[in-house]
Amino acid sequence: MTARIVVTGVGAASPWGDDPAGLWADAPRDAVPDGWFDVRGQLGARGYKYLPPACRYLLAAGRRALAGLPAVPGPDLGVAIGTNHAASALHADMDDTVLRGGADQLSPALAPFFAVNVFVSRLAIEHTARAFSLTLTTPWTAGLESLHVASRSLRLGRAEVVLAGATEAGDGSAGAEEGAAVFVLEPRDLAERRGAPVLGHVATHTGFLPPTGPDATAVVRAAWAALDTGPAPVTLFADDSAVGAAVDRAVRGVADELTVLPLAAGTVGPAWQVAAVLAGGVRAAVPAGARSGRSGVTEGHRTHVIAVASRAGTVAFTAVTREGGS
Amino acid sequence: MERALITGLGVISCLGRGADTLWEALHAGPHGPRRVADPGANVDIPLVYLVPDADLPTEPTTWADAPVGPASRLAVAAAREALDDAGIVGAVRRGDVRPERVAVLLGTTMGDHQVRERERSGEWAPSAGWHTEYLVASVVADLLGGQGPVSTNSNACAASGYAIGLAVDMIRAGEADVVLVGGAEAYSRLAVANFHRMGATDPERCRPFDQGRKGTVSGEAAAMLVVEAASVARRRGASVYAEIAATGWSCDAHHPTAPEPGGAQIDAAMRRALRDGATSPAEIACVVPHGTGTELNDVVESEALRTLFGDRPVPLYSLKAQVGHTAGAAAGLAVATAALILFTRAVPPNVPLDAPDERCPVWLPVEARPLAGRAVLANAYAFGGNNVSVLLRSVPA
Repeated sequence: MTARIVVTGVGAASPWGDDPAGLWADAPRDAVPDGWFDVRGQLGARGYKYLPPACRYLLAAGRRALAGLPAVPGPDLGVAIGTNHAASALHADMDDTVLRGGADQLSPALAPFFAVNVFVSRLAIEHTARAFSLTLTTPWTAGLESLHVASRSLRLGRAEVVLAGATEAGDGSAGAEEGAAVFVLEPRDLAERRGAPVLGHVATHTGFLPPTGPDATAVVRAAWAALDTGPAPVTLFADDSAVGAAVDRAVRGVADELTVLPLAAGTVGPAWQVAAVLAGGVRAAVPAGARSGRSGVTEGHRTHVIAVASRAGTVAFTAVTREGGS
Repeated sequence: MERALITGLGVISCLGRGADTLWEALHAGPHGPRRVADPGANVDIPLVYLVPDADLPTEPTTWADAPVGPASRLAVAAAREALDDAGIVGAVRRGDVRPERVAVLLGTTMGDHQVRERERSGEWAPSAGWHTEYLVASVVADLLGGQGPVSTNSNACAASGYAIGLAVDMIRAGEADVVLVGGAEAYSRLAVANFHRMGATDPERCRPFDQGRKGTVSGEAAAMLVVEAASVARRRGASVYAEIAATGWSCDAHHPTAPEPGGAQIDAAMRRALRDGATSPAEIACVVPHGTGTELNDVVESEALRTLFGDRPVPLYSLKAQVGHTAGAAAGLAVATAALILFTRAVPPNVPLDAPDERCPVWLPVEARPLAGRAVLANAYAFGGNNVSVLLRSVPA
C-alpha cells in the first residue's frame, strides 16, 4: 500500500545532537547537560533574547525540518505541536514574581508566554503558517498524537503541508526532557509535484486505559489493526504504572522485537525515536542478514513501532516506515 | 461523510450548575465578577467570574496518585451532566455504543495549574514527583472507563473550539462514534496576573463592545458536549440539540497576542466554516461572538462580521458579558449556548451596554427574540492568533 500522506522533512534540537539519525535510543538517556543550546549559533544574533527555551528549540528544529524544501504559501501551512512542560519553568518564575513583588513586576516581553500555545504560534509566525496552529498537551502522548492530527488534517483538506512534532524545556525536576523535534507532512502527490524528498510515512493510533486494573489487549489489537503494519520491532516508552505494565504485557504478544525504555517527563523523546527511523539512524538490533524474531524477516526492517504508555492512561502507537530500501 | 450531532450538554459556570440553569440565568439580570480569595493574588484587579462556592464540586482531589485541582472537578461535573443528558452510559451498557469508539477531547489553557499555585503559596503541601497539569481529560475519560482516544489541546482562549473541531474531524474520519468534548478553566493567579501585566483587564466587569471597556475579566467554567455520529444517534433514538455543520480554523501568524488588525484570518475562519458547512452568510440567524471586551479585539471582530454580513443586521448574543472570559472553556460555553439558541429557537436578551462603541457596528438586542433562521455561528480567538469558527445548524425533528 502506498501511503498518501508522507514525511518530507525532519529536524531536531536536542542535548544529544541535532542530527535526527543520531537520536535513536536503545538505552535510558543520561541527564541533560547544562548549556547544550547555543542561541546565537543556532538561531542568530538578534530577536531571540526574550524567547523561552522551549520556543527556541522549536524554532531551531523547525528550520532544520524545512531546510532545502520549497517554501509553502502561508495559507496552506498548518502547525500541530505537542508539549507538556514547555512553559513550566517560566510559570514557576512568574508565579514567584507575583507572590514576592506583584503582577507589575512581570516581564512584559515574556507575559504572553504564560499561554503555552504562544510557544507554538511563534513557529507559525516564523513560517507564516495561516491554515492553523494547534498546541496539543495530552500527557506524554502529544508528540506522537501531533503526527496523527497532522495526517488527518491533511486528509480533510485543512492544510496542504503541516509541521508536527514536540518541544519541551527543563522544568527543574530530574528527568524532564529538553529539546524539540519537527516533522514536515504532506500528501505524496504534492511532495512529488514540488520535488520534496519522501523520507517515509507514519501511522498513529491513540487510546486510553483506566489506571486501575487496565487490560491493554484490546487497545493493542486495535492499534495493530489500525496501523496495518504486521510484525515489527517495537520501542515502548513506559513508566512504572499499571498502564505501562499492561501495555508492556500486551505488546509482547505482537512485537517482533521489543525494547522497553523509561518514559521521561515530556512528549519529545518518542518523537526523536520516530525522527531517527525516518533519518535512517536505527542501530541494528540483530546482525544484518540474520533471521530475527517470530516473523523470520531479515534485519533491515523498514517499519518500526514507537509506543508510549503512561500513568495518565494515555497510550499511543506510531508505525514509522522508511521510504524505499532499509 | 458522517454528520456530527450534539446530543448532550453539561455546563458549570459563575451562573451555576447545569445547562438549564445557564439558560435561565442568561434571561435574568446581569451577573458580575467577585474578588478572588487568593492571598497571593498581588494584582490591582483581582476580579474573576467565579463559580459560586455552593456549586463548586469537591471531588476528585486526586487521580491515579496525582493531585488534581478545580479544573478537573469542573470538567467532571460538566461531563457527568452531558453524559446523563445524552444517555451515553446506558447506551454503552446496552451495547448501542462501543466504549472503544468513545473519545474524550478537552481544551484548557492552564489545566490544573492551580494545584501548583496553591503549593507555591504554601496553602497546600508540595506533592512529590513530576506531575502534569493536563490530566483533566484523563480524569474525565476515567468516568467512562473506555479505550477510545483521549486528547487535550491548550489553544488558550480558543482551546475548546479546537477540541470541538477535532471532535468533528474524528467523526468525519470514522475514528470515533461519540466524542465527549469541551473545555475547562479554573481560576489561575498566573493567568490573571499576566492579563493584568499586558493591560488587558477591565477594572469593573466584562463589557464587550462597550465604549468604556478596558479589557476582559476572566471566568471559571466547564462546558462539555456529547457530539455523536448521526448514524449512531439515529439508531439509538437520541434527541438532538443541533448539528455541528463545520468548524473553520485559521492562524494570524502575526503577533504573540495582538490580533491581525485587518481581521483577514478571522474572516478566513468564518468563511471556511460556512463553505465547509454549505451555508451562506445570509442563512446565519445569530452569532455568539468571541467578544471579550479587549479594546482592539472587539473592533476587529465587529469589522470582520460587517465584512461577512454587509449591511444585513445579524443579532449577536454577547455571552461574555454574563460569564466573563472563561479562556479554554469559552468556546465550549459559546457552542453550548448556540446549541440552546437553535434548540429553543430563541436568542436571549443581551446585557445592555452603557454606551455602544461606534467602531463596533454590531447589533446586540436587549430583548429576547425568536431565532429567525436555522444556522448560528460561534467564534473563538486566542493569543497566538489561533482562530476558530463553529457553525451549528438546526436538525429537523
